[in-house]
Formats: sequence, C-alpha cells, structure tokens
Amino acid sequence: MDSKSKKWLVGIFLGVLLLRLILAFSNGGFTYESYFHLRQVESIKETGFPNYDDELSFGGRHYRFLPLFHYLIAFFSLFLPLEFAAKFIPNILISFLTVIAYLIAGKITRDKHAPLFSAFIVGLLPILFKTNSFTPETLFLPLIFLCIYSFLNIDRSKFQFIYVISFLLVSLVSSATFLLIIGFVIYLVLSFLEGKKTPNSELELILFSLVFFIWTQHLFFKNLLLEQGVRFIWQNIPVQIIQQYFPKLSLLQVILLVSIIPFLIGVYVVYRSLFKLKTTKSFLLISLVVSTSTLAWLRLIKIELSLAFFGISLALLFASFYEEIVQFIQRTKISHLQRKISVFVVIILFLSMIFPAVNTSISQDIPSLTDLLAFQWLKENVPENSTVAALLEEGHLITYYGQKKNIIDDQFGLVEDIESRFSDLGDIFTTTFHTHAVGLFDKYEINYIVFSERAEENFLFPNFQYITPECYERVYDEGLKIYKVKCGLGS
Amino acid sequence: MEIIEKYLETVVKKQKFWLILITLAILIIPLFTSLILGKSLFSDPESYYHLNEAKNFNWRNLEYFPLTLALKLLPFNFLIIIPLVLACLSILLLRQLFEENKLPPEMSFLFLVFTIISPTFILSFSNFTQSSYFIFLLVFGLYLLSRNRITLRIIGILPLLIITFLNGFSSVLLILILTIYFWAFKRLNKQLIYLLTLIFLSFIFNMVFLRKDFFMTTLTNNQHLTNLIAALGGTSGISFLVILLALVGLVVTWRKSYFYKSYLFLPLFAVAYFYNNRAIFLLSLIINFFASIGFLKIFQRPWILKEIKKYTFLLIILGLLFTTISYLDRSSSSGPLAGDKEVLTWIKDNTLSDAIIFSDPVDSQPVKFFSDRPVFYLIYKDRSYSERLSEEIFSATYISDYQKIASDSRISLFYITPRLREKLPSEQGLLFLLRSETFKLVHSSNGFEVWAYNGNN
Repeated sequence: MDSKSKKWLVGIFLGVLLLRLILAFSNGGFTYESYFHLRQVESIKETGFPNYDDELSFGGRHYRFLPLFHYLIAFFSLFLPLEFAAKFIPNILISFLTVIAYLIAGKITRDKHAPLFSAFIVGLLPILFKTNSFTPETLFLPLIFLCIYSFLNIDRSKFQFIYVISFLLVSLVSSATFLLIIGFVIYLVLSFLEGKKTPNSELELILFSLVFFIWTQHLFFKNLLLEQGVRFIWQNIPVQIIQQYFPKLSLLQVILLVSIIPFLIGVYVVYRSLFKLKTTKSFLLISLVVSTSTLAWLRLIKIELSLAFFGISLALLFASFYEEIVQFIQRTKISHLQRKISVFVVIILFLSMIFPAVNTSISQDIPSLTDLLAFQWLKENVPENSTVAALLEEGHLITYYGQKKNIIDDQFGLVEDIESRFSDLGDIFTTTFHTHAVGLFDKYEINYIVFSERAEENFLFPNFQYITPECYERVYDEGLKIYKVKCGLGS
Repeated sequence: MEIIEKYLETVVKKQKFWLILITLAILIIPLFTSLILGKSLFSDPESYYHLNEAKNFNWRNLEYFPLTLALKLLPFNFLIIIPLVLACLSILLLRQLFEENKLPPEMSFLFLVFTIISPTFILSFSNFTQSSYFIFLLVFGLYLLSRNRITLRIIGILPLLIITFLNGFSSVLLILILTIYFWAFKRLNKQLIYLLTLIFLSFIFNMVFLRKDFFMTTLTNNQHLTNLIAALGGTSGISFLVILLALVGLVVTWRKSYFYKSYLFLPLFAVAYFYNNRAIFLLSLIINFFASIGFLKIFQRPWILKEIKKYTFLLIILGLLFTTISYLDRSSSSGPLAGDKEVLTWIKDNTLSDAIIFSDPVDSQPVKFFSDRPVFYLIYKDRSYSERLSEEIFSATYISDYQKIASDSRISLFYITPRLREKLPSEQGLLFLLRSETFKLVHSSNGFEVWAYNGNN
C-alpha cells in the first residue's frame, strides 16, 4: 500500500466514522432490540457473566446467546459510560469494514485505486447505516470479512494464525458464522464445477472451520437444540410475525438498501466472473452472495444480514469492474481523461449513496424520548416484582429502563408458550371485553399496562378499549399512558 | 500426531480387548447412574414392550422364549446382563466378519469405536430392543454361514430364521441385506437362493399363520430429522460430526471398486429408517462405516497446515465424545424413575387385577409391566384409535365428555406423573377435571399419583 492510498483510506475511514457518529448521537436512543444487549452488557459489568437466567424477561426465563460482543463492550464500558460506548464502539467496528474491504479488494485486483472504491462503497452502504443499532452484527461483520481476507492469504503463515483467531472470535459472536461455512461449501462446488483444483491448505482450513463451528455451537446451544430440535432455525419466532422477521423484499427495496450502482455493477461482475472470466479469486465472494441470498430466500436468515453480506460482497466486486474499466480506458483515445473519470465515479457513487445512507439512519426504529422517559418512570414509581404489559418491541424497555418484568420481548428462544403469549398480548391491546382482559392479566400476573403512540399506530385505537376508572388507575400520562390494574377475576 | 498414531497402532493390534473394554465402559456408566438414582435399569419403553410380551409368552411369540425363561430365573435387575452380552458378542462378531472380508484393521477398529460410542448403540444395547436382537442374530448367522464346516453353516440358518419371527419389516430387511451382502462380498450361489427361499417361506408363515405385525407396535414418533441427529433431541440419533465424516467418506470412496457396493446399504437403510425410525441403528451402522473411512482419509494424508491438523483432530474427538457424554447424561433422566416403580408396585399390590389404568401413552408399556394391570392405550389393537381417545381424555372440558369414553373403556385408575403434569395444562382438560368429586386421589408419592374414577359405579 503506497502512502497516498494509505492517506485516502484513513480519510475514508475517518469520514465514514465521523458521519456515523454524528448521526448516531443526533438520533437519540437506540433501536428497540439494542436494549436487550445493553442489559446483558450491564449484567457482565456487574457480575462478570451474561444474564442467562433472566428474572424479568417473560416474567422469568432462561436463554442462551453467544456473549463475546457483550464482553467486549463491557470491557470498554469500564472506562466509558455504557450508553456512550454502546454508540461509539459499534460505529468504529463497522467503520473498520472500510479498511478490511480495501484489503480484500486489493487481493482480487492489481489496480491500486480500485480497492479504495470498494472501501468507499462499503463505508456508505445504506444497509449498514443503522447507526443506533447496538447488536452483535456490528462486530460480526468486520470479523467475518477479516476471516475472508485471511483465507485469501492462507499461503502466508501469519494469516493462518489470524484466520484461526478471527474465526474463533466470530464463532463466539454470532451463529450466523454458518453463512461463511455455507459460502465455503458453495466455493468448493463452484471450483469443482469449473475444474479448478482447490489448494489443500484451503481444504484443511475449511474442514477445521466446519468442525470448530459445530463444536462451539453445540457447546453453547446444547439445551436449545435438544429442546427445540429443528425449530431452533426459526428461533421460536411466533408464526404470526415470522413474515415480519423474514420479509420478502421487492427488487426495488433491495436496490435501495444496497444502492443502485454497486448493485448493477456487482451483478454484472458476478455474471462475468462466473460465465466469462471464471476467475477463482472472486469465487469465494460470489459464493457468499449465493449462500446469503439463498438462505434469505428460504427464510433461514434475517434479510438485513443477508443484504449486508450481499452489499459488501458486491462492493468488493466493484473493484474488479473498476480495474477492467481503467484497463479499457487506457486502450482508448480518452486515456488522458482517466483521472477525471475516476473523480466522476466518486461523485456519482457519493451522490447515489449518501442520501439513502443518511435516510436509513434517520428512519431507524428508535423509541421516542417521551417513551424512554415513561419507561424510566417505571423504575422508581412501580413496586418491585410488578409485571408490565407493553408492545413486543417495548419489552426490552420495560426490563432495561423500568427494571420490571415484561410478558414478552423479541428473545423468543426456549419460551414454551410463545404462540399463545403473542396472541394474548394482541388480545390485551384489541379486546373490547373487560373480563377477557382481566383473565389475561390474571394469567400473566400483570399489574401495569402501557399504551404508547406506537401501539396507537399499530392497532389504530387511541387507547385500550376496556378502560374503566373502577378497575384501571391512570398513573402516567405524558404522551404514553400507563395504567395500574386494580381488578382481578375474583373482584 | 505421531504419538497418537503410535498409540492407535498398539490399540489396533489388541483391538478385541479394547473394543470389549470400551463397550462395557460405555454401557455400564448409565447403569450405575440408574442404580444410584433408584431408577429402573431399562430406560427405553421398548424394553417393557418386550418384557410384557415375554410375560405373556404363548405359541404366537415363540421368539420370546429365552426372555421368558430369563424373566423367570433371574432377578429383574440381573436381566441387564442379556443386552450387555449381546453387545459384546455383536461387536466381536462384526470385527470377525470385517477381518474375513479383508477390511483394514484400523478401519474396522474405528468403525466399531464410532458404533460403540454412538447413542443408537447405547440405547439399543442397554435395553431390550429389536435392533440389538436383530443385529446380533444377523451377524451371528452371517458368521456361522461363512464357516467351512457344513454343520455350522446349517446351524447358521437358525438365527436368520428367528429374525423372521420378529415382524414382517425385519424379514424384508433381512432378505434385502443378505442379497446385497452376498452379492457384494461373497458370491451369489444356489445355497443362498435356498436360504432366501427358506427365509421368505418363514416370513409368509409368520405373516399368514401367526398373524405377526409388519411393524413392531410400540409408540414410534417418526420425526425423521430430529431422530436422526443426536443433538436435536431425538430418542438416540447420530452425531452430526459422524454424519459429516461420513460425507467425506462417501466422497473419497466414490467409484472405488472395493467400497462402492457397500453404497447399496445406504439407500436400503435410509428407506428402512424413513418407514420406521426404530431402524436408525442400521442406518447408523452404515453411516459409521463411511465415517471411519472419512476419518482415516482425513488424518492419514499429509497436511500442509500441521498445527491445524492437530486442532481439527482434537475437535473431532472431543465432538464425538461430547455427543456420547451428552446422550449418557440425557438418558440418565429418562425412563421409569424410582417414583414410577414405587407407585406402580402399589397399584399391583392394592387394586383389582382387572382395573384398567389410564396413563400417558408414552408410559403405557412400563405401566403395564410394573403394575401388572391392563393399560387403556394398549387395549385397542388400532393404536391410532387409542391415541385419539387418549387425546380426547386429555382435553375433555366437561366430566360428561369424559364419561362417554369411560363407560366404554371402563377406565378405573388414572396414573399421573410429574412429566405428564408438565405436558398438560392445569387449568383445563384432564388435570382440571381431576379436581372434581368424580375423581379421588388414592395414592401419591413424590408427585406420582393414582386417581380413582368413581363414575363407573
């Protein structure tokens, strides 16, 4: 890497980081699911362990998840305030993807500028611009692409070590590591079909990765697998909302989230690599695209993760396209315009990506400040051991800010009666019958019910349908209503 | 790695000794756990099916004669010796057959070790199961048939004929296995045709005259994927790593003349498994066979990444042992518990001999065995009908719903266990109805309860 490229790369990294941090801090809180991870980090900070036996979630339950991400943030939160670290560190991690993208693209092209374009595109990918999302994916993505980079350099012993360490870490961050494994399998199949001999060192590493992955997941999720069997794939998500977790996106939505230029050029490069050039260098990236897209289509992984992989892989393949274009221009009479054309490409890329990226960040699903204040109010003003019913998305707000029991949140794994809970929650919000509602309050020992603006949007009612002053005392009413349940079936 | 290879070499040389040692060590561990917990030594309901059949020995189930005899002569806990002896003999006979078919000794050793530590083997040979009986009789028959002395070869027909008495499915499987085995490793000759004809005639005799079932009539939950992979919580299953190694084995043996005939066993056992998940042991045998080939292929070739080779080897070994240990741990909490035995023995001693017991269908065979009373689920030959009636009883909303079934089936006792209480809702259905005056708790111990139904009077 020459010093000029280095400067450009540092510039891209810092520029992306700065933009992400500005957006993250100006947006306020975190996305709804982030509060679950915040609680886990807090638990690690206080006890040294994740809260696998949670007394508040679902009124008390047991769950399992891979804890490395939470440990990392807990470490940083020793020096920084937790909510600051939870915004700062994930954004740094995602920004590092630009550096990793530069390195990977450098492996598949010889042009020294092409990798900078890949880094630039990765930095501005709209699907990665969920700046207020505090989830393990922010560590998972850089690590998995670090694995890929090490894999591409496996002939050097230093990278064998880096691969093993990064694969070990990524296996402890997210089970989505299986995407890489499936990508490897598709890579082997593609190489076999094209008659290319896979080097022994690659085969050895793939076998190691497969065995190591199975071993770690088995260790962590033994009980989950035993209890839920094949259903663990769908994470016990209630049937009613499975569409919400694994939606089928239209082509237009995909193009918007990956951005139009990387999408079109990526598809073109995939086509050329597979059917014209047949270069093995791109096979691994193409295999990743194929594996993630197929699994998302089969509704086996979340669409956001699939699109992130898809977008990054296409951004990396953009380097190949740029190299080809440069070589083509050099053979034409307009070769003197090459520099200007590069600047033009940068401008086009910037203009086509910056708006969707910023828009993704602004339109994140984040609870409003009034909601946050209401859930914080629960902590001081509601007795210990109370159970609060709110929307599914707001479940983690009850446990994180209110420190009270919820009846449901989005961590469905190992919950036995998930279907009935979910449908009962819907009934609490929609039923017009007081007796039915009270029956459900008795069933889940609910003491407080919360009706937020989000609930109003979801159910198109301004409030619960069965509220009477005799049975329900309004204890909070500042944008969001909280009622104390005073009646039971016996009274 | 060199040290491990050296050790393996030494072990392979004395493989008979090591195989028996590993078999006994693996099978005795769950027995000790059961003894300490006061549980019954047999955890699989299928054991009680066979024990019940042996108790009711008659001319239609002649194949149970040895078990009937053992049941009369030996104390109950000593019966466990029978599957242990069958396990050791089956392993030794399999090893002998491999040696005679010129399989490399390290491959046969690995195959047998993979088999011994598999949950399917542990389940089959720590219980009375048809699979263990089938495998023992099959390998014993094949061993005798491959002897030079004609007397032994004639005697060898006997174990194979006994298999046809088990059920129709076993007979068909036997005919297909023998055809493939002799075609692949021996020669198809007139003697084999006679043997197959004899087996076929015996099969017809059993089906037509003795009216044997085609499948064994135990409660089998055919969930193919869950029952196949041990980690997914099926009754036994195969380690995922073994399946992975088997895939490697399949790829490397592709088109190799010595092995490709053994490929035929794979679809045969897979189809058998698909029809009846109890045939998993046979499927696991062929998968273990290919896994041993895959394992040797992976570790006998020179690796470029030598350190990675060590880690991969270690991970595979740990992974295989983890599946075994995890299964042993799981099996120690399954099967009839001390509470079951105590309460069911109370029923045997304190109730009328014709009292019909209603229990969880899964527990019906152990309940029948320990209580010596007829069990509702087993009264009807048509098990889907019993299942439907049981479901109606479990979910009955009103006493009147239940009374209709009760008057027909004359159920007088309800056997409620903590397992059943976990499965059923407490605020509706059977558990809710038990609170009414129509039912009376007549005995209880550590959450195991006997309720009497008064409505029949």
